[in-house]
Amino acid sequence: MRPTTAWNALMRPPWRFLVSSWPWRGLLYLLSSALIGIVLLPLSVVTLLLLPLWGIVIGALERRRARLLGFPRLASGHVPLTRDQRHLWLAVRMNEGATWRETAALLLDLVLGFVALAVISAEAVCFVVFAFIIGSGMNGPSSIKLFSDVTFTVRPDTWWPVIPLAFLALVVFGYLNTLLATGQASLLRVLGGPRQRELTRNVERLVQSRATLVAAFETERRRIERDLHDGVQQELVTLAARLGMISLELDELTSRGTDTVLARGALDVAQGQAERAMATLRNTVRGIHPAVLTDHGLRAALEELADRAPVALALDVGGIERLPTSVETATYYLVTEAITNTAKHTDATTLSVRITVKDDVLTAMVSDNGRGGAEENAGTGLRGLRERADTLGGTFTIISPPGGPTSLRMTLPIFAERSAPYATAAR
Amino acid sequence: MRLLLAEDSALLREALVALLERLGHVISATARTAPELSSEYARLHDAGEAPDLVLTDVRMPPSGTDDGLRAALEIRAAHPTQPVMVLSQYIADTYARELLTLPNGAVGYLLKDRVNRVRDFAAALESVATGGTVIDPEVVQHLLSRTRPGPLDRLTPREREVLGLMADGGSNAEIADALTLTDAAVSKHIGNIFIKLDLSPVEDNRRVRAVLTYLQSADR
Repeated sequence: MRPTTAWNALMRPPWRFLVSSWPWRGLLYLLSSALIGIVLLPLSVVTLLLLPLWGIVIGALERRRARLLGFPRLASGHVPLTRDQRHLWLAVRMNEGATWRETAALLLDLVLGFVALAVISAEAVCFVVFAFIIGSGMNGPSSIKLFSDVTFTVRPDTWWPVIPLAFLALVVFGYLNTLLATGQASLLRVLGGPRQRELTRNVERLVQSRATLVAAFETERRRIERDLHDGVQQELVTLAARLGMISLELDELTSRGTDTVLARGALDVAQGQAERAMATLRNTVRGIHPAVLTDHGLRAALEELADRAPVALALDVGGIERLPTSVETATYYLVTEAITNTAKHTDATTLSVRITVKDDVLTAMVSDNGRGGAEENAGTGLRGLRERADTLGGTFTIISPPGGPTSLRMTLPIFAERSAPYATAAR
Repeated sequence: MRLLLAEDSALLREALVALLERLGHVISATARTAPELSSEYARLHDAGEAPDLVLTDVRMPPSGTDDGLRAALEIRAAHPTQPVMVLSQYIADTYARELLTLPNGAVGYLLKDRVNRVRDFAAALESVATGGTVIDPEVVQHLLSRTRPGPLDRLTPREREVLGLMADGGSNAEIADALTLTDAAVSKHIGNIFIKLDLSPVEDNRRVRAVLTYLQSADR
């Protein structure tokens, strides 16, 4: 298996490590460190007051640069800001722990940058020396002065030990570079990455925004249902009443001896059309959001569903009262989804629905008498149910052993509704 | 006859007033909200001019759920013989059950769509005003097609068909026609339905009672 990070690569046998790309990546990382150090030093000295801002830049850079050594890209520890919060950017950033940790990372980068520069320079000097020795040795005996009073002489037959020495240096430097680079990257990751608390906070924000989204979606469906009811449905009924008026006028004409056969035929067609339009719209509206759920609650809505379902539905809903809209809707969709699945994919003939409310938790259990084997990933319906349950802080379980039966179980916590009932605000 | 009409949509209210007046009725008052319906009814009643029929929409302000139905039920509770006809945009068995369990009849529940067939609509109004019970055919169909266990299980499929046509207002001859049976066979089926639903032969209006009995015992 290929190592995923530089740490894993260092653990491998040397002959594997040395021929891989990792030593080169380490060298590249150190080179970039040195470059950053060289650029940062004058920048930091000149704009000392802007250090935290450079810190944010360095933080972002380091979170990406660590990928060179195989580390996964880190999330930022900063609070995400939306477009309309942009004007608060500076104030928010200056008050964040993440910003100051990144500033520390910048200072560390400065120091380590020059360490990297020193190491790379020393390595380069070594190889220059080796090359010089080889060059001198091949061109005949010459005396090389190493330090103040240490001299040695290389001749064409004595320069060769430099070759294994150079290889040894390559090995040592390969390990040294990678180790230094990986150590630096790891240290910077600690400083530039998010803290557990920051991660939790961001997750909470996500969960919350998803819940808001789902709630908004439901509100929107109810609004559409209400708009259709107050708008086009009433207009269609008005149209029907007007058509009724016309038929009365035709009766009147007929009684006076006028021939109205053709007019009556045309009117009949129009009336039939109006009836179909009203029926179609009613079905559509029911699909968008069942009015009975809003008006009468879960119990009544499930009873309506039982009347319409293509499979026999045995309801055991006890004495449940009105519940928060989100809970009622989620439970309603659990049952409709179960009915759809049962009718479509199984040979089950009955569905039993059991709903209990205890200690502010609603538990809904829907079981069929089919052969089981339902899979959550088979369609969007069951996954949608899980998301709905997750969003509301509940759970969703599918129990469907081969041979059956299939049971869907959803639990939902019941919190008091925060917003006022939709209906009062609707008009 | 004199009518009290409650409907929140101005457009539809106007059309209904025009239609009802064309049918020769008098609109004593109109109401746009459930509280207005209650107060208008009280006003008319106190003046000694209680309407011959209260005609109301189910979904009305203030809450926009079933306020109209609630107001109608309250009126009925205070004046048990007041004829009430409820119009609804959609079928809800819950509404039907609440209305049709009222004693004394003189109650109706129709889809708003029915104003289309104005003669039938007019006849339904007359029927309720004179103490009859009118149930929308679609409601009846629903109740008859329900899949959960109920007293209807006692009926054979044929008897169920007959009951459905009965609830649609079909006469024995019409039912016989529709099912290609003899009149005698239809009478026998109907007799069986009455027995199975425990309706005594002396009871009035057994046809509607057959459906009502079912409604009352369903579910609860």
